[in-house]
Amino acid sequence: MREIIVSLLVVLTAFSIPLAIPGEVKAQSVASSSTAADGNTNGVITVIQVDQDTKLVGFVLSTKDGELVEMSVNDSTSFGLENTSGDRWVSEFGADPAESLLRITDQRERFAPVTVTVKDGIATAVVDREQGDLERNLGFLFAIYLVTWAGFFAYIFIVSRKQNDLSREINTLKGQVLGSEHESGLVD
Amino acid sequence: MTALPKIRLIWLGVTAALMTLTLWMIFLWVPTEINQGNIQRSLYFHVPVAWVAMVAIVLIAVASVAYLKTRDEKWDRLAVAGAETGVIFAALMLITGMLWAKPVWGVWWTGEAKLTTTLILFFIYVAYLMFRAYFPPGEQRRRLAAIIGVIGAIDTPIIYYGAQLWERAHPSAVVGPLSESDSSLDGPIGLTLMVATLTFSVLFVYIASERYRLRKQEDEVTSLLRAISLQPPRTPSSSMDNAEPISSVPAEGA
Repeated sequence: MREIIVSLLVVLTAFSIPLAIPGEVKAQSVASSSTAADGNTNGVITVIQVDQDTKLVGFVLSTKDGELVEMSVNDSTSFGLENTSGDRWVSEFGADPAESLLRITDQRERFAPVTVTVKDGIATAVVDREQGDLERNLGFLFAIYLVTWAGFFAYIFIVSRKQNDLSREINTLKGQVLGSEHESGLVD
Repeated sequence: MTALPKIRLIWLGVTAALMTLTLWMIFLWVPTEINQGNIQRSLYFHVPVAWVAMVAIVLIAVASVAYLKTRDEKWDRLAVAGAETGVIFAALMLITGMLWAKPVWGVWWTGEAKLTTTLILFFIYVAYLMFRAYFPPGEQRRRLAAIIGVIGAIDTPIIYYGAQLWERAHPSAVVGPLSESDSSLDGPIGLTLMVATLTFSVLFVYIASERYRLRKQEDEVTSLLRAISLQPPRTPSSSMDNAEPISSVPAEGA
């Protein structure tokens, strides 16, 4: 049953692309898609590539700059994708190729952005949500480290200043005690 | 600025070296986690800080028990140092936790058990310090503070087991007797977390020892002022008249 649904989805995907994208643009885009460079790439999935056994082999990502980048998947490609009901699926392609295709198709249909980590043209990780908004998350990360360091430095500074004040006060008091003892004849 | 004794200087150097190593591992060595992305790097600060906050309350409990048994003031000083350092770490644990929760859970705070019991831990620290600040100085204060310190430590196992006992957003324990064997915290992520935890533990020892030293100085000032007040009255021509004035007699520190 699942295979039938997957096949239907793939067929629908294949037919919906020409409907969703103007013919000349589509022809131009697919023709001008390039292999993704190493590193992280953000965008939405526009084309899903399958083999004759309806097994996912790769996909094309449309970046925010409008560039189309192509990448393939292999057994060790990791997925961390969430569907509309909030169910997050984390697995590797080799563990469940059919589910991988379903999830990728779902992402494509919802135009949900994904972040793909690419190495040598192969997607090593495909994730959505938090990584899709790297800048916002980096802001939070920066805040966490800033708050921690500011907290430590402020406390150490306060303690250090108090230590210095007390050291001075102790020396003064010791001088007074010693002077008083001299005066009362307790110390020669 | 007083010269740092050699051992404190060495300890500070070790702390700085370990912190440099930890930061290098966090930002340059450990790979980005697949589900949360870069924000997951908060783990390497949030978890060690939380660990130290719990170690601090255990330290207070141990020092308090030792004080109740021996009545030696050094244990009371140690408990105070642990409490004041612990409240800093507990506050940072809550703040870093909220800053991590917002992008991952979508909220700053939830009412789940682990968060609530952690907030209670923070309030225990605050209550302990407030008690010491407002209760009249003396043996009774030290004794009652020690009892509060021992009772406060009961919260620690509840926090640890909190994620297992009730429904939660926090993940299950990954370290200790309740850790799951298929935990994802292995490899570089696990190693980085261990190094970060060691680093923050070393930092805690440094800060707590500085606070202990400060507390010792406060006690010394108190005893010196007591000694001066017990001395016989001086003649007007006394050399004491030329001595530097003393600001005030401090109450026994918080």
